[in-house]
Formats: sequence, C-alpha cells, structure tokens
Amino acid sequence: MNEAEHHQICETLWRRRLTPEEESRWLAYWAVHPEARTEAEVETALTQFLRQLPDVPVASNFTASVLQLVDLETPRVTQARSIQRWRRWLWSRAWLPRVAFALLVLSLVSLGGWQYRWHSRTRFAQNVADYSKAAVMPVLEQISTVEIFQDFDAIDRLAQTAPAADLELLAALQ
Amino acid sequence: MGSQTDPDAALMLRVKRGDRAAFETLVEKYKQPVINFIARTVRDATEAEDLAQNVFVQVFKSAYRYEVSARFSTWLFTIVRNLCLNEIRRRSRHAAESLDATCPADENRPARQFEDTKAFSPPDALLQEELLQKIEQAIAALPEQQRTAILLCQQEEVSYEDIAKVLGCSLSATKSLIHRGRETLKRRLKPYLRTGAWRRTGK
Repeated sequence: MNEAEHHQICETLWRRRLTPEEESRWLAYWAVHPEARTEAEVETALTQFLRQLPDVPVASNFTASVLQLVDLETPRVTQARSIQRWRRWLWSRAWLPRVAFALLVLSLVSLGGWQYRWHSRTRFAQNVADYSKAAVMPVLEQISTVEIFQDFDAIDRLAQTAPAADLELLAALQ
Repeated sequence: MGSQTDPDAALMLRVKRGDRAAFETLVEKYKQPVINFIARTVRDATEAEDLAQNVFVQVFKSAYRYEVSARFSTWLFTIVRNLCLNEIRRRSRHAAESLDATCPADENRPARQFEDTKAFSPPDALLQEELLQKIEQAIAALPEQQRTAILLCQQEEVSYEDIAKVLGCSLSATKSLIHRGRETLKRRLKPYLRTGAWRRTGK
C-alpha cells in the first residue's frame, strides 16, 4: 500500500467500517510507516465521534402533524396539478397553438384587406356620384367642395378607356 | 437514475400519483435524518422540528413535478439545505434571540438538552456530555458548506456524488470540503480524540 491508497482507506473510513481485508492492508502499512498510525487513529476517533452523535428527539406525533398540514395544502396542490396537466396536454400538441396563431393572424390580415377594399370602393363610388352631379351643372360656383375632384384623373381615364361594366360600382351608385 | 434502483424514488412517484401511504412511509423513514441535519445547522431543536415539517410539506407540494433525475435523498436534502439557508438568512436579518442561548438555570450548558438513553457512571456521563457538546459546537462553527458535507457524509444512503449534487459542486471539491472540515474538527477536538473517550459505547 502506498500513501495514496492509505488516504483512500481513510476516506473510506469516513463512510463505513473497513472490511477485514482493508484493515489488514492498513495494519501492514502501519508496520512500515508507524507515523501513519497516529493519523489513522485520529481519523478513526473522529469518525466514531460523529457516529456517536445522538439523534435529536422527534415528537411522537410528527408524522401526524405533517399529514395534517398536507391535508390543508391538498386543494391547492390538486389545482396546481390540473393546471400542469392541462399545460402538458396543450404543449404536447405543439403544432396546435402555432396553427391557431397563424390562422388568427391570417384572418386579421384578410379582414383588414377586405375592409380596406370595401372602404376604398365606397369612397370612389361616392366621388363618381358627386362628380356626375357636378358635371351636369353649368355653373362651377354650384360645386360646393373641391374634394369631389379628388379622384378626377381616375374618373377621366375611365371615360377614355371604356372598361367593362363594373357591376359593383353600379350597385354602389344606386 | 431510475426508480428501479432507488426504492425511495419509486415511493415518490407513487406520491406524485396521489398515494398518501407512500408519502407517510417517506416521512417516517427520513424524519430523523432530516431533523438531525436541521438541528445541527440552525442550532435549535424546537425550530428544527417546525422546519422539518415544512420540508415534508414542500416535498408533498412539489410531488406533481417530481422527476427521477437523481436519488430521492439527494432531492430531499437539497430542499432541506435550501430551507436551512433561508432560515439562517432570515435570522441574520431579524435577530430575535441569540443562537447561543443558554439554559437559564446553568449558563454553562446549552438550552437544548439531549435525551440520555445510556446508563453511564457519573464521571463517564459528565465526560460523554461534555464531549457531545464540544462536537456539536465544533460542527456548528464550521463554514456552511463544510458542515453540510460532513453532516450528509453521516447519512449512509447519501453517496459522495449525491452530496456533490446537493452542494452544487464537483466530486473532488466535495471531498476537499469534507477533508478540510474534518481537519478543522480534529484540531478543535484534539484533546478528546487522544483520551480514548470515543471508545466508550455510545450510539
């Protein structure tokens, strides 16, 4: 046995008693290194001290007291368990929240786009109607607002290119 | 680490499923080592019992998210250590009474008394009591990590690797802590270590 093995045996002694084989090896080492015997005896003594520390007294109703406290906590724990179970179910289907979110975003974008188109067409149709009224009036002073000329270029191009009948526009005019 | 190799982890998994009998078994098994650890950390046997109860309530409350990633004892003593550290911090902020409170009848003896279950002759009894006091004081005077490492070392079911996990350091650092703690204890208990007092039957 060398010094490292001697220390290893001391470390073993921290946790448990030595086996007869370990003890005999240790004694053989002491025969060659008597100074190590003192250190070993002190280690052994300290280990014995620590093992001899008495147990701190425990009340006889300790377990019953713990179970009583646990009974008070049970409703909260049950609720926490349900929430966690629900979360686990939800996140086990990891694609579900992502698809739901994507659908929501798509719906909002579509709704926004449709609303914008509808609003633009309504405003355009109103302007055409106002312009038409203004066109039959010979006196420009009867035109009350400049805003009806907002879409003048677009209307003028319409007259020149003669596009296909816009049924929606006609419906809006009516 | 599977529940097959650690029967306490298997019990804890049953607690996770709502088995109260399994929880009671764990409390019965670990109440003594937990109270011993807490009492020697906070130096108050009465407070130790309250804290130990809190430990097991915390174990129950945490059961639903328990996963077998380590031995049950490792997980348990991690909770124990954290509660002890919280208590020590709370006391340092609101120091209500001295940790060295003495018994009013005799200032030389600590307030906490151990039950003397062994029949010693009067001189042996005095020596034994003095020895135990000295050991307790020496352990209490250690830095927290060294004390925790040495106290956990006394638990047979807690391996060096488990102690390292509780302390949050490496295996070599853990053994170094134990070694340094023991060197300190040997220095403080030197007179008693050489008297042979440890040879008398105790625990």
